[in-house]
Amino acid sequence: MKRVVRIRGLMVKDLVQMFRNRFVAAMTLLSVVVYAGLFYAMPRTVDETFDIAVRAPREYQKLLKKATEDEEGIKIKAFDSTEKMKEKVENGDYNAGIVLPDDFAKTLAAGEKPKVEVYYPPEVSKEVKDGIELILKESAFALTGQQIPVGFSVKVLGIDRAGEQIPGRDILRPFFIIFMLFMELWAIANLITEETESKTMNAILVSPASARDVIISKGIVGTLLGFSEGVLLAALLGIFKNDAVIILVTLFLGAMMVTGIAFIVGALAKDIIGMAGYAVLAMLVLMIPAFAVMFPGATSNWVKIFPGYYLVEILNQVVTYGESWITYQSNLVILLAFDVAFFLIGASVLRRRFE
Amino acid sequence: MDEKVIEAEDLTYRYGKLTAVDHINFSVLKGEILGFLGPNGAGKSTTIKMLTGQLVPKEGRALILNKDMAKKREELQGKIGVCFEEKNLYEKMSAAENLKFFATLFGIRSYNPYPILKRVGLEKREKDKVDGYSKGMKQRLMMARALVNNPKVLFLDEPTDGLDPVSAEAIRKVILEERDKGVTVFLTTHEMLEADKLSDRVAFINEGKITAMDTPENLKQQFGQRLLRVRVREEGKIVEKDFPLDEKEVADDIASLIKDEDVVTVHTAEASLEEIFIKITGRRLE
Repeated sequence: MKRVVRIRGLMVKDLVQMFRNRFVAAMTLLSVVVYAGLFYAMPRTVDETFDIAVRAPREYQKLLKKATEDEEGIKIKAFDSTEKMKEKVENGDYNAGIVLPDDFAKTLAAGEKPKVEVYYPPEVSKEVKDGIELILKESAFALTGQQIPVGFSVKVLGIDRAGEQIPGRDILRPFFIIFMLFMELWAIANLITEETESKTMNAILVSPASARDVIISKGIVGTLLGFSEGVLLAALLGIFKNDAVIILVTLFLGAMMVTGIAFIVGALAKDIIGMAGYAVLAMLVLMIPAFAVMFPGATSNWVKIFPGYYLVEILNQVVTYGESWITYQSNLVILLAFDVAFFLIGASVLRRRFE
Repeated sequence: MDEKVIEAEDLTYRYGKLTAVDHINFSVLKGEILGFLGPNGAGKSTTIKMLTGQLVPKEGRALILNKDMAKKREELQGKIGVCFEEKNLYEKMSAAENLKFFATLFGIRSYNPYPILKRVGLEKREKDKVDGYSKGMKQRLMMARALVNNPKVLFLDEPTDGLDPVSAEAIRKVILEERDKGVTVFLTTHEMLEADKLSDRVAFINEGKITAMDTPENLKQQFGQRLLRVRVREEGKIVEKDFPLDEKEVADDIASLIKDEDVVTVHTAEASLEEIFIKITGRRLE
């Protein structure tokens, strides 16, 4: 019973210490506010429409509109003045501007090739140019009444995300949560370092409290705080619309992992500057998988050696793509194994440091 | 029969090849203040760490209340109070919060810090954060912290070192009050005057070994020389003349001095603990 009172007392003290450290308190609060703010400031939809300005004889304007009205991703806007159209395109209001000459029909009828002018806004991407050229070719067939003489069979290798384009802010959600968890790494490591640097640990260890009590209390505080903040941010980012249970389990395991790593950082660091160095190093290494998930193709399978990969990957697949946890249960097991390993190593080195 | 509260039995500690404490033996009785004196690096802190359970002896035993500290650490640490030399307080917490937190470590759920803060003169600053306290106030709070569990044994490591006279006196008063309540006090210091004022007995430690242990009075008698110091005026100048009291012919010498010379003052002089320490160890207490 006395041990429960001791551990509760240590936990309350840790929380008071943590939130009276202005830097840690501000960073924790700012992380929630800034990540949530960034999320809501970003566009909620993906703009997949090609806006095309057209200056053409009236009969072709109608024909072009009709030819593209069944296409969801193409919007045609007709202009009477070539100069006005070019100005709008140059301003970036349209992805492209097309000018069909007034003698377009006449030239076609004569069996000659009419000269069609295409204008792009400055710094247009290759993807947009390719898309526009494809639309132009399709439109040319529609205008001239000829069918494409080849049939295509399209097959996507791997997961077909066509039509599921995800807004950037949604892709970033797991990333925000990972950042939030890593803030906890800093907070717990800082708490441990302050305790050893100010020698308050010596005062604790001449009372009936043991190093084990201290490690248990810090483990509970670190994990619960990381988990609570992760849940708060996840709720603000609307993540629980997906499989809430798997997200909660993953956040808990993530909070455990960063707490274990914080133990190691706290045990290695001799002072606050040393702690900052080790913490930044740990955070950088752990963030690599998050970048890999954000920018697929930037890394390969070697990224799986980082424990953070399993945390990011589960969150990414469940949160961003709504995958079932069953698909990622092996990742969960690996994440749990890393948690146990970090906690055991962290507790062991911390105990040695304290005693 | 006098009850032994602290016992060191062949207590030894080594840091690698360096023997910091070398087979020391002593005991402290209930309600006694033992001044543990020695220069920096003599082994004082290592001894106190073994007695308080912070270090496990490499050889020998540290017995507190007849139990081995290394084996009954949790139980015994509930009965001791420790005041450290370094000010290891939670600076972002108030005095009351510090004391309440440490009370929880002893399993005390709802602790009222006011009475103990009043004893050390901090009752008006109980809600102020410690980082705004002076050195003396912090030390008084450290003393209060050592008393939250009503300890039977107090370990005080340089409790008045570098303090202002008011804070030092407040701490000495608390130490004597605790002694009067029957608390055993183990006091390490390199302040000989402090040890002389407070200690019932003193032990000198040098290079990890206890070189002398007795009451300050006995040590002075054993190692010091009792003198009568007479100041006389000779040709307009004040001159001091010492007469060892243990010599037989001193009475005649003093009588003729008083009769024949212009005596200004007469008083006894005895060796200080500092002088005795130097005599025994050949080292200064710094």
